[in-house]
Amino acid sequence: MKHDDVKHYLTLPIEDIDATVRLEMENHVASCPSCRSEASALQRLHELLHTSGVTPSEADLSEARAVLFHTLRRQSASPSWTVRLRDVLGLAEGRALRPIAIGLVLAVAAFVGGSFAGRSLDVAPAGFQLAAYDPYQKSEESTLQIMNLRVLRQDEASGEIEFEFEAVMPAHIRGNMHEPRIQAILAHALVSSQNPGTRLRAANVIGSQKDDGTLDRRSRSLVKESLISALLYDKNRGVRMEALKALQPFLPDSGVTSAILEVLKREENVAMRIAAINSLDITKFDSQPARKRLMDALRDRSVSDANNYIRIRAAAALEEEQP
Amino acid sequence: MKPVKQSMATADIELIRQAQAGDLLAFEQLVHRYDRRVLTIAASYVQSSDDAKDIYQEVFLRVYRALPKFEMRSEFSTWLFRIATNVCLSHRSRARRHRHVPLDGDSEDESDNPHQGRSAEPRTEPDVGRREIASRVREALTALSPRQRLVFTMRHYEGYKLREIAELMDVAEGSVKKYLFEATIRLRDQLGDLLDEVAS
Repeated sequence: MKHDDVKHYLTLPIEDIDATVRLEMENHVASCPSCRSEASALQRLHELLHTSGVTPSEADLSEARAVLFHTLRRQSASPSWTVRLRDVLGLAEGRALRPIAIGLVLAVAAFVGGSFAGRSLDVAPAGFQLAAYDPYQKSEESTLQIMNLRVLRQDEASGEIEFEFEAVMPAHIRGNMHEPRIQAILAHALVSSQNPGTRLRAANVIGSQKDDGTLDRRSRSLVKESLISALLYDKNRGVRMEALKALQPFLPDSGVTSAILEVLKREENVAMRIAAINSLDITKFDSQPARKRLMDALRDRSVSDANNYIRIRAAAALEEEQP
Repeated sequence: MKPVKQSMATADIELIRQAQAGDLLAFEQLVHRYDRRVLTIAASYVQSSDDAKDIYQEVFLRVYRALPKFEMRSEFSTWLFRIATNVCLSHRSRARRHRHVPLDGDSEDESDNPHQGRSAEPRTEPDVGRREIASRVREALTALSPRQRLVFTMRHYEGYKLREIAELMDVAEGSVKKYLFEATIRLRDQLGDLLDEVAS
């Protein structure tokens, strides 16, 4: 038996080694100092790992159980909105789509009532069932709204029909601002909601969070891109302004700087341009890659901006930077 | 009705059927039977108690959701631990989002936090040594690949047979042997100095 074979067998549980092989291995180890040393080292390794093993405390177990049972009871009382929506629309997991093309737009309409103190996703009770839906009988439980129904195809002879609609359901979110799903929902609302009030609140909520560096990189990036998108392209000035405020903690990030400089250069609204130039603290850009672009933009604005305050502000910032 | 796995504990079968019928208390009893082991596997696999508890929640929520489709053709425990295995392997640590508190209750950065509400009882030298060794072992385990770590954890800390691990991970037994070999050698190399101390 070769040394490498012995080394391999030594890592296996003894009961998993064939009796003949085991005997051969034991004979080899007895006569080979190198393999004996290896066997001894592995024995010590197992002892070391055994004595330093981690066993969860009763407190950990109790806490885990409490959280689980609480979640289960809540879910049992109110299934998740995704599950319920799937049930409502007859889209069970793994089942092929029925000959109905369904366009879904989930409007997260309950940001205002959302609380961000805990860590769980919660849904307001609804109980809406499409099968039992009677449009003439108003029910407080019928919280899902069918909007923008559009018939794509209808065969009157066979009765087949294909249509799409937007299913809008209020949702109640309870979680922590640092959770990726919370960030994702807010970011999505900011860039996709048709309601400017919703976009404004989303930007406002994002901007109100403390940037203590604990947000994971992906969420941070998602939020940043959404805010930049809102700043540059949102039709509502209030939303753009909120996005600008919410982007402050990201400075002197290069992408954010570029977006603000774009606003400073192209935004028609004077208040937005003023807010943009006020947000650019030149001292934050020392040895930053975006510094040159900032200085160029300030030089440009100091002579060509239509607004007197912006020209003076830009010139003053440049003067402060003169040696 | 499909055949039930013969060796499955009768009490398990009864609880599973009740849970499948929507009896939450029956499901909670099932959890009580197996959850300590799930948390132990998770705790051995990840570095922090937060991560271990995340895995615990994920495992039992998945089990709860999938229970109506469980046909009792395999042991409930096998099915449960297979889910636990998958959750461990796909787990992403939330280290960046939260401060870690290891399961033994000792904070990693406690010394840097004078405001932490703990009794200021001085630690004895053996305690410090034990903590350092535990910390080194954790680092070494973390350095393994997810599959190496899981195989090693389940074999070494949980005493699973290689065949059982292969079944849980849905891989060939030969692959499990390979992972165990690689994990053992890497751990021995990384903890070599500690092994010398143990020997001396």
